[in-house]
Amino acid sequence: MDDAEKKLKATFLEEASQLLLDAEQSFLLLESNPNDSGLIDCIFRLAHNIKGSANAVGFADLGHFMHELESLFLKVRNKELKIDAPIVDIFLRCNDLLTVWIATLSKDDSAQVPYQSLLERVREVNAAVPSSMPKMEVHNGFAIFIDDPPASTKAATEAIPDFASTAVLKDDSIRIHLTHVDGLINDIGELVILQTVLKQQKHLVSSPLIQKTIDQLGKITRQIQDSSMGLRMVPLNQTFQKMQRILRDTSKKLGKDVNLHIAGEATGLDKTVLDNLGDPLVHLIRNAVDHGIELPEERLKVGKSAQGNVWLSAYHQSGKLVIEIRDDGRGLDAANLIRIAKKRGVLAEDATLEDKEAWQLIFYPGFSTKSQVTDISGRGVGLDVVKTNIIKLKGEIQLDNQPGHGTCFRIFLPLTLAIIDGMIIGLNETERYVVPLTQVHEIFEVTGAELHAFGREDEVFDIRGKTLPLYHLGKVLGRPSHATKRRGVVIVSRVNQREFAFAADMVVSQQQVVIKQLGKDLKKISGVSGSAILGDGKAALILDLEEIAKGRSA
Amino acid sequence: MSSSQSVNANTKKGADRHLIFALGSEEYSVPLLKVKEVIEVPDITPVPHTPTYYLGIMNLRGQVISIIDLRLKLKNVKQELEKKTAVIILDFDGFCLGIAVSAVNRVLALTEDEINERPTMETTENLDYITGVAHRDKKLILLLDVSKALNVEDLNLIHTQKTQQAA
Repeated sequence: MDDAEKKLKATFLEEASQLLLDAEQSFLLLESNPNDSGLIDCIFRLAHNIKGSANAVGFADLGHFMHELESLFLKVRNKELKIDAPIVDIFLRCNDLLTVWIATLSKDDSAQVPYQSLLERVREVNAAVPSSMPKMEVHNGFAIFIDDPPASTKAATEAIPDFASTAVLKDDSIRIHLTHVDGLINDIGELVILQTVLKQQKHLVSSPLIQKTIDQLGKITRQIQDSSMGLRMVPLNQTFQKMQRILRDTSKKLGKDVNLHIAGEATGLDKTVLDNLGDPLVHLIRNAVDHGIELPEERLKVGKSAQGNVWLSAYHQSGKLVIEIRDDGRGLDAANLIRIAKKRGVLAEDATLEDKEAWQLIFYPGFSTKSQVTDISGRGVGLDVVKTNIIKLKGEIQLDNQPGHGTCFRIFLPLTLAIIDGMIIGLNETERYVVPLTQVHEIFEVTGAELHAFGREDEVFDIRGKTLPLYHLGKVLGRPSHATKRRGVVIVSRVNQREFAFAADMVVSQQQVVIKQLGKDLKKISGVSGSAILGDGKAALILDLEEIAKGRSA
Repeated sequence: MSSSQSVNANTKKGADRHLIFALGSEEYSVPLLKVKEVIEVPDITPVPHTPTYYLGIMNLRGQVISIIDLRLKLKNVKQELEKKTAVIILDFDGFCLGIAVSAVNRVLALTEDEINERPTMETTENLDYITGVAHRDKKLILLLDVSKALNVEDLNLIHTQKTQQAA
């Protein structure tokens, strides 16, 4: 196979996966608006597009499958087939299959996907509906250029759909590979450093014009830096879209009727954060449907509408991104939680908890209120994992609960993982390290009296009646340091509710740093999480105090 | 293609240009196409728990890259970094690596005829990283494959970077 053909296939697969995402959204909308002809036209066009292109680039099986599916859509368009939940189910299953199919082909373009059984199902449905349509031929080769399938007389009598007005796919964006964006951000980072040098040396020139220009250059540089950081931001809508599907499937399985309200899906979030947000969100949505929302009968009994509601929204709040998952279900029952916690030994028998504390029990590992394990939830592997994942993203999860009226989870996330607030610490005269500010709980200046020998080699830090294990960063990193002479600073860090003390020579400054990943050969260096470029243009390592503490206390 | 061939006298038919550098008193070369740039010794940040030939990391215009002391790695000669010391930044399909060498001497076009196979020797040392030898001005130049010269770990790294890019 030559390169041109390979490229064509790659382009097709990339486009197709985008089209499938749009299609899924359309199917879900179709269920609630079965008579929206614009929507049906849109779906038909998507299917037709994929079919034509698949045949053109030589994916005959895929083209064949799409052909069958397309005839089904055609019947929907011609109002010969009524839209109901089972039909939408089939559509969604086809969509899932196609998504897998496209993903498989992306890895290996000669791979086979078991599509026969679903094809049979589509054929059955197709055959069950009498059609006035002549059987369409599978177009080979250049089907992509054939504008429309031969329209039946019935279809022709309907108004010719105006595709332009139904162009929900219009998207004013271009796709850029992350490496290009990161390259640009790197260059701009360097620009900022050079600009800082220029600013510091400004007094050396006497010309007021040059001084003014340097100031203006500084402003524009900051602006460029800000907008470049924005490039990594991607809107949440695709992730939210997936949640719609999860909600639908879960509520169907449980026999519940739940409506998802989405808001703020245009809010942007760093790509890396977004990629890691999917799983926690899926979990919270399932959780809301399974544990939160009651069965329709129950809801009616307590005077609620039979249909439950889940709200998924995103918004900015004081420099953080907040994602809110709220339901109007039964809420958490503190007494019940305490009872279960005691039964499982998570809580001592005689413990008393405030309601608010009791709610937090759901974040305990292995805690589940479900007596029966389902494939949706109840295995007790859950909210603790969600919490861990969120913390990994340097975020935070909060819980708000109104018994009888619903639960609300709020996830607070940093806008980007690419920049962190760092504390620059020094070992000896020259070496600088960055400690993430989130890991710094307290800092003390020490003169020696607070440090005590503990056994032959170890030391402890004695402060305010607490005695904490002390690690000399110089020793840990195998670098020369003065702190061993019992002078310098001690940083107290909290790991899993335990406190650890780390000795260094000095605190240099506090600044935001852009995180740079180290090469894979350096990744396994324990206690180092990455690197950053400091204000003077030097590269520095970012320490992970948590890992250092874990490595030594184990 | 044919019009551009006669532009540079150095570009003889079948000749590739090589960057010639010194490690101690010996001359080595790398294909010029692999060289991104040559710089003075930059500010290097040491990295804990790494082999001695691993000098540390540096900032190359916003990119953090590793620097390896090739003098120490290949010749086992511990030399201070001095003014003459140069750092050659090599580009392996987007993954950059710096190597510290004693000095950078010149650029040479070597035709295939001028490059001899490396002599086979009875030795326990793996000399695969020398891909050939060439003679110029009565001196021997050893042609180097840097990715082979580094140990397996570093090599793996370069390899995975390559496959990632291809994917």
